[in-house]
Amino acid sequence: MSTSLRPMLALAAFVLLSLSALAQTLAQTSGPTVAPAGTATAEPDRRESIEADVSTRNISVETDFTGSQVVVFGTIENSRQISADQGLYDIAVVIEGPREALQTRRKSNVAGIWINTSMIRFDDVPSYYALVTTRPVTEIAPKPVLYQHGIGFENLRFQTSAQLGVKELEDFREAIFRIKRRQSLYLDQPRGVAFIGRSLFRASVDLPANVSVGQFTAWIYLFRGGDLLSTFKTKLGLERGGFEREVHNLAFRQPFVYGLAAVGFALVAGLLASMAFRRN
Amino acid sequence: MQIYLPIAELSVNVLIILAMGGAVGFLSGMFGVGGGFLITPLLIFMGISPAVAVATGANQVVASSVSGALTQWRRQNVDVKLGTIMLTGGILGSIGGVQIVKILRALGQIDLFISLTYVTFLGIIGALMLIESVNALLRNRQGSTAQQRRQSHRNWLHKLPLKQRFHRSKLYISAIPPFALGVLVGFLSAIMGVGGGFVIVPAMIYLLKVPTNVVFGTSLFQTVFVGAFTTIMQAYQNQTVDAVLAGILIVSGVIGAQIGVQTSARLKAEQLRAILALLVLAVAVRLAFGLIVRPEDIFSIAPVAVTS
Repeated sequence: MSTSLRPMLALAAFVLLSLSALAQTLAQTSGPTVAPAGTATAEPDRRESIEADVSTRNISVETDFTGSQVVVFGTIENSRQISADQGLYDIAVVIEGPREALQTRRKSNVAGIWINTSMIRFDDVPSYYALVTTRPVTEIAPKPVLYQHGIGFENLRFQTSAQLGVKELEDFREAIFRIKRRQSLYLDQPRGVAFIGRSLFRASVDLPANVSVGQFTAWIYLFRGGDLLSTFKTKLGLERGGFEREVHNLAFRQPFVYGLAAVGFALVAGLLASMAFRRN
Repeated sequence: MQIYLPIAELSVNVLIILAMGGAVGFLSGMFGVGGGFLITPLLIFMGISPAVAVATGANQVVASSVSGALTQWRRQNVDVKLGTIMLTGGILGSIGGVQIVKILRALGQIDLFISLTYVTFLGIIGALMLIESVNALLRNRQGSTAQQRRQSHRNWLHKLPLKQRFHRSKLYISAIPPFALGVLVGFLSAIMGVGGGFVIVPAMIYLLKVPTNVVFGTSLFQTVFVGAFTTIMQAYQNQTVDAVLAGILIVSGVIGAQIGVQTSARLKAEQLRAILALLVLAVAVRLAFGLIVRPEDIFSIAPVAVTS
């Protein structure tokens, strides 16, 4: 029931935001006539900022979970854009999953067999990372700006205590990106944010079925001419729910009982089947 | 119809799992084996982590062997004394195996170890079975009276101490070989997620010289217990038993097994053994291939197991 409600809520929020944006637009157009003449040069209120939200703040991972789609939507306050396609602003949306320790291994051929021969542990790798932007992130802002705010795959740094050469470390880092991309856990959608009207924008981001549960953070960055104007941060959570949650909790909190139950089910199923077929 | 597995942490198609369980159940019923040696590699090929695959395989083995064990029990084909000795060894082997799984998981070598164990055991046993069954088929074709040359000479096994009388097997042998066999099978159960029938049956026939009718009953008897014990151990120590996955496999598996049993009655024993041998070899070759061929990506990643 709640799953069908969520998109509707998102839609309602979206409509509300659109209305507020519209009201703002109207206020702006009529603004100069109302404003006192003395404050015409200083415009502290006219600085652009963003407000945004996600369509689903809590995603429940249940037995029917096949991934999820999150819509990030928001509005630019004091937008000076004339239309949606003017391209005055750029938006970058970053969604990051819970950070986790990751073992990265490299195989090499030992006596004809491929064996993991070197391993590095990284302590804080985002389990999920999506970069959704209005255009390729390198076109949006110069590298130092992106670096300063830690935006984009290039600026993701992982902690490791391993003693390795720069080149080798880079190989392992790249492997994480490559494999995570293959698993759809790291994604880059350079044209994923769309403007609707002068100030409204939206982006939809896919969370695949193999995503880790936990707290996710969404950052929304507003750029104009390569400068970061405003940042907005919001959270969303993925939690196990329903039967899925019960099974997982039992397995980890009462592993012995869980094991007994698994064996019990196997015994009963085996015996029932042999009884059923004997009667036939 | 997709279902999200709570321990394997991925979404799979229920129908595929049901079909897999049914097919393997059918084969296991037909050949009188647990089917763990087929289930585990299939799960691994599907992308389920080897550690979860072996633990879940052990769970499935319990279901597929319990009905057979009960049937054999009613026919008085279970040598409880022999089975209990093997079982004791089996439990010790299983404890050891589960610890090794835990250590190798931390070292990142569990996948390799599972594959190597599979290739070694399935390769040897598949080859031996194939040779034996082809010989038997050829003998039958030539029409020569297949004389069951029962080797009566006493081998080195009879020189061991701790001799016991096993009434149902009509044997007077040392308790050490069945115990050692049990240890090996318990170990394999933990590492490979198998019941170990494919090791235990030939070993009982050719090494211990147990009468064939008692072999299957006793083997199934100890498989049920070792499988159950391994499942509980894996769940307790490694949290790698996916009960949802096992449940789906079991539901279709036990039905498939019953159909398999009925089908096997229409086939000749030698033919059955030859087909089983080919199947065992095919799995071994497929796994060996994975070890030898250069992987698409020589890098791999795995979340660090939370140490409890």
